[in-house]
Amino acid sequence: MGVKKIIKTVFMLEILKGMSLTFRALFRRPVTRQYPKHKREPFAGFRGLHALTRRPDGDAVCVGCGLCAAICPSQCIKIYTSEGADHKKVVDRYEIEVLRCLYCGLCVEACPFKAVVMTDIYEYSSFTRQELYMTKDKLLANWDRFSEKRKKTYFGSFWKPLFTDFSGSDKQAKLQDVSKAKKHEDIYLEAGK
Amino acid sequence: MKMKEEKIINFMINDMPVKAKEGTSVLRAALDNGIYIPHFCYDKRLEVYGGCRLCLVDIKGGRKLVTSCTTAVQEGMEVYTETPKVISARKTVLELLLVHHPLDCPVCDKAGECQLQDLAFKYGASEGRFSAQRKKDPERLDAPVVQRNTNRCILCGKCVKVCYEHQGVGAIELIGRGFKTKVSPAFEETLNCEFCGQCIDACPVGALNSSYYRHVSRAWYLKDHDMPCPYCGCGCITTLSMRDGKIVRAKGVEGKGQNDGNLCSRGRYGFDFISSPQRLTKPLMRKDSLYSNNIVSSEGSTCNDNPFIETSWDEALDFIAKKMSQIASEHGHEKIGAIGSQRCTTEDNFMLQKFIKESIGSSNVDSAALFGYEKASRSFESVFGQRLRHISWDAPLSADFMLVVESDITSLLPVWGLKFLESKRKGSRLVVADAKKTKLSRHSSSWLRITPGSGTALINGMINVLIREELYNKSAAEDVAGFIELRSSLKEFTPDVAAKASGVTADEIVNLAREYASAKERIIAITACASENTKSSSLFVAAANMAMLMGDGPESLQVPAEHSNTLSMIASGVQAGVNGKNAYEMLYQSNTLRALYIVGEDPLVMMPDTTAVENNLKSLDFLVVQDIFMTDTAKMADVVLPAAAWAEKEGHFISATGNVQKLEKICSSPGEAKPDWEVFSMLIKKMDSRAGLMSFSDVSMEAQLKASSFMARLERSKGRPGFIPVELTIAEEPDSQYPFRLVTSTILQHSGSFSMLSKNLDAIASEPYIQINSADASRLSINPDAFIEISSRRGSAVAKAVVSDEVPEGTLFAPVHFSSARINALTYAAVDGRVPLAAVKITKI
Ligand code: SF4
Ligand code: SF4
Ligand code: SF4
Ligand code: SF4
Ligand code: SF4
Ligand code: FES
Repeated sequence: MGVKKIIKTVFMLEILKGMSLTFRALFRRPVTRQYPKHKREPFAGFRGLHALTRRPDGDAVCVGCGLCAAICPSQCIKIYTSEGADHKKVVDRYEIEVLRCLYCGLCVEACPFKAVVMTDIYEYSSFTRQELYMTKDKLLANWDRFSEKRKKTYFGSFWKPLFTDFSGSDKQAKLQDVSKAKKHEDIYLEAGK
Repeated sequence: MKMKEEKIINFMINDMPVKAKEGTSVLRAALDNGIYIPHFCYDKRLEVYGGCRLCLVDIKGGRKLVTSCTTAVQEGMEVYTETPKVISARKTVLELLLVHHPLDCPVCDKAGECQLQDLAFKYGASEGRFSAQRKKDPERLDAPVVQRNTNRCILCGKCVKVCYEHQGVGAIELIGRGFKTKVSPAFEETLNCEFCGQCIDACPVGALNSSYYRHVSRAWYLKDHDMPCPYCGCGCITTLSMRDGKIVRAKGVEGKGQNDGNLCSRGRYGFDFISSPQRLTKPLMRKDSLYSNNIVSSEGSTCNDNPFIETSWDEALDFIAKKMSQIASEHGHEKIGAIGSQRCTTEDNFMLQKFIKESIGSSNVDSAALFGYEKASRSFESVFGQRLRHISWDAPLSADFMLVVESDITSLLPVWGLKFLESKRKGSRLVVADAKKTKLSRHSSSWLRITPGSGTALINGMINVLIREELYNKSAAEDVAGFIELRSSLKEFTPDVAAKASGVTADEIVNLAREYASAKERIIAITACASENTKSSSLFVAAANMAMLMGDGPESLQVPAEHSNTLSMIASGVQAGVNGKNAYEMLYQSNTLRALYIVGEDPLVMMPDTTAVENNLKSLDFLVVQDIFMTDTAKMADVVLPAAAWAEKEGHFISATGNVQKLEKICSSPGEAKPDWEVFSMLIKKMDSRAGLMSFSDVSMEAQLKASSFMARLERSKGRPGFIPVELTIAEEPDSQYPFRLVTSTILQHSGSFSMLSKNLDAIASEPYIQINSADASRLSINPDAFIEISSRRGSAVAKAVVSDEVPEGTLFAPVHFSSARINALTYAAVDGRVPLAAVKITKI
C-alpha cells in the first residue's frame, strides 16, 4: 500500500471530490421544469393536437379529398363526403381518432389545402376515449383554440412558410412560386363553381 | 366462319422473348404478357384508333417511335417500351394533355384510379412549359345516372366508340372542333340512351361519372368484391366496391367473368335494391292469427280489418308449421304447394323443395319458369329427346348465320346480346324476325317485321321451303321418327300461306329459308321468359324441327335461361314432378290447393292473367310469402317472412351458360331478415322435432350435389328424337270489340318486380308506359304522354302512352314490371301451345 493511497483513504478525498459537485449544484439554477406551474413553449415544428383550419366563412377549408386519410399510417382518419345541394362536394364528417395517431404529421404534409394542421397544443387528456375521438366540430374548435395564440415563428418554420392567413382554399401546398400556383388555384376554384 | 390457321410470331419486348398470334398489335401482346404500356384510347373491344399517342414504343431499327396499338407484331422485331426517348415523348404527351386539364383531383371522383393522374405521377411533368388555357364547360348533370364533366375529358374517344361500335347505340359523339371539342349527345341535348354505363367504365379519366357515386367515396377507401349479377342469366361478374359494409358502386372489370368487363344498366346500377327502405325486416302475421294463436291478448280489438303485425321468427314459424300440418291432415298433403324463385340461390331452392317434399310430403313445387324456360325446355325435349342445355357464350361468334325469332335478346340478356352485334360486325348474317323494333333488329342484316306471335308460322313456312326445295339434310332427317308426318302436315303450308299468317312476303320466307340452309354454322336464338307473350311452346317445337331437319345438333338452338339462377332452380328440384302440380295448375285452376308457399316471386305482377291468380290466391286457406319486400302478392298473405337478398347471403348461382358461380355474403341483411335456406332449415325442424338444424355447408353440399347431378344428367340424357308437327294458334285474336294486340315483355332497365326497389334504375325508367304506333295514335288522337287506359276481357290498366314506331300498327307494347300499372291483369295465361297474346281495346282518358 503506497503513501498516496493511505492519504486518500484517511482524508476521504474521493468522497470530498464527489461532494464538491453536489455542493456546487446546490447553488445552481435547477433544470427541471415545474410543469404544470411552468409551461414550456413548444419549438417550431412541434406536432401536437390536430386541427382543421377555417375558411373566412367559418366552415372547414377541407374539401374531403381524402389524401390525409390515404397517407395516414395508422389509418385513424375517417372522412365522409356527399353531394351537397348545389352538387358540390360536402364534407359531412371528418374524424381523427387521436388516440391511435402516431403524430407523424404525414396528413399535414399530404393535404393540398393546408386544411388539416397540427397545432402546438399538447395538453389534452381525458378520462374517456370518446372525448379524444376528434370530430369535425372538435377539430375546428381546436383551430380556434390554437389561432387565438398562434405564434409567427412556429408558423414560419414549420408549415411550409408561405401562408399564414388561411383565408381560403386557394392557398395550396406546393407553392414554391406563389404567382404560378395561384393561377392553378383560380382555375380550380372556377371549375368547382 | 372459316378458321384460319393462326401463325405464331416470335419477337422481343424489352429483351424478353414474347409469342403472339399473327395480326396482334404490339400493345395487346405486351399487355397479355404482363408488360404495361400506357394507353388511353386502346380498348380490346374496339377498332384501333391510335389517337392518344401515349402508347409510343421504340422499335429497333425504326426511325421514329411508333404507336404500339396500331403496329402489328412482326417476326424478330425488338420492341423497347421504356427507353429515355420513349419516356420523354410520353412526358410531352402528358404535358400537353395537362395544359387543358382542370386538375380538380381533390373533388374528382376518379382520383386514385385515374390513368391520367397515375401516369402524370409516374412520368410527370409537374411544371408545364405551356400557358394554361382551360375549358370551363358547365358539368352536365341533367341525365339520369350518367354525368359528364367535359373539362376533364382528354378526348380519347373511347366512350364514343364503346357506345357506337360495341354497344350499338351511338348516343354520344365528339362534337365541336379543336379546343372546343367535347363529348356530348347531338346538339348538346340531355343524354337519353340505354344508360348501360359502359362509357363510364371505359373513360380513363373522371370525365364521365355515375351520379349515385358522386362525391360519395374515394377509390382508396373501397374494398372490391366480385359477385355474379343478381338480374339475368348472363351471370356477369360485377365488381362491387364496399365502404363500411355498404355497396357504393358496381363496375365491370376487364378479364373478370365471361362478360369480360361488360355490364348492362341493371348490373351496373341495380345493386342498390338491397338498401331500399322498403325491405322487409321482421316476420309479419295477421292480427287475427296472432290472437287465435294466443300470442297477443285480444283485448280491445274491435276493428274489422286484419292488418299485419310484426312478430318473432319463432311465433311465425310455429304458426306456419301448425297450419301446414293441420291442412295436410285435414285435406291431404297434395293440397299444399310451393312456388320457388329464379333469383334465389341453389341452396335456397333446394331447401324449399326439401321442405315441401320431405316435411310436407307434397310434390307440388314449381316456378314462373313454367311460362318461360321450362316451356322451351320441354318443347325442346319432345323433339330432340333431350332437355335444353345451357347456352354457349360464344355461339353467336362462331356462327355465320343467326336467326333471332321474336326475341329482344339485348333487353333480356343484354351482355350476351352484344355478342350478336359483335358477330354481325365481324361479318355474319343476323336475321331478326320480330314485330317490335329492337336494338337487334336495328343492327340486323335483315329485319322481317312479322305479325306479333307468328314466329311459328314463319318457321313452318321455312320448313316447307326447305323440304320442297330439298335443302334439308336428307341423310340426317329422313330416318328420324315423324318426318313423314311433318312433311305431310306442312305440305300445304306454302310460303304464300305462311306469308299470310306471318305478315311478311312469300319471297322473304323463301329467301330466308335458302339463306338458312346454305349457311355453314347457323344458330336460332329465342328467349324464353314468363313476361313475354308472343311465344308458345309451338315456336320452340317448330324451331327444333327445323334445326333437326338440317341435321343440326341441339346446340344450334340457343335458348338462354332467363334469370340469374333459373337453371339451378330447376336443377335443384324446383320443377313440377310427374305427380306434382305445376305452377299453372296451382295458380290458375281453382281448388287445386289449400295452402301455398311462395318464395321470391310476385305472381300478381309478373305472371300472366293476374286476376285469375288473385282469385285463386284469395280462395286459399293459407298463404305464406317469403320475399325481400312487400310485393303485391305478399299483401295477400297470411304470413310474410323477410328474406335476405343477394349479397346478404352465401350461395351459388348457375348462369344461362352453365357456370356455377359463388355468392359471398358481403352485407348484413336488414333487421331480422334471414337467408331462405335457413328459414326452411328452421321450418323443417319445427315440423319434425327429430330433424336437426342444418349448417350452410351441409345445405350447400347437398344442394350442389343435387344440382350438379341434374346438370350431368342433362348432358347424358338421350331420348328418341322425333319431329312433331305444330301449327300456330293464337289464344285471342283481335276483333272488332278488342282491336289491338297487346305485346308484353321485359325492358332493358328492369327485371322482375324487385328491380323497382333500385333508386338508380328507377331514375332511368320509373314509369309504366304503353307504346302505340303513331298511325294508331293519330287515328285515336292520343297525344304523346297522355294517360290511356287499356282493357282486355280480363282486366285493365292505366299508363302513359308513348307514341313510337317501334311497334307496328294494331299492336300495343307494355312492360310488365310496374305494379302501379298491372299490365299482366290483361294478359292471357296459356300453357297448351297457344300463343298467349291478348286482345285489348283502348279506353282513352
Ligand atoms: S399524424 Fe400521422 S398517424 Fe396521425 S393522423 Fe396524421 S397521418 Fe395519421
Ligand atoms: S388532405 Fe386536406 S383537404 Fe384532403 S381530406 Fe385531408 S384535410 Fe381535407
Ligand atoms: S380526371 Fe384524373 S387527373 Fe383529372 S381531375 Fe380527375 S383524377 Fe385528377
Ligand atoms: S369522356 Fe372519357 S372516354 Fe370519353 S373521350 Fe373523354 S376521356 Fe375519353
Ligand atoms: S347482362 Fe344480365 S347478368 Fe349481365 S349485368 Fe346485365 S342483368 Fe346482370
Ligand atoms: S393507345 Fe395507342 S394511340 Fe392511344
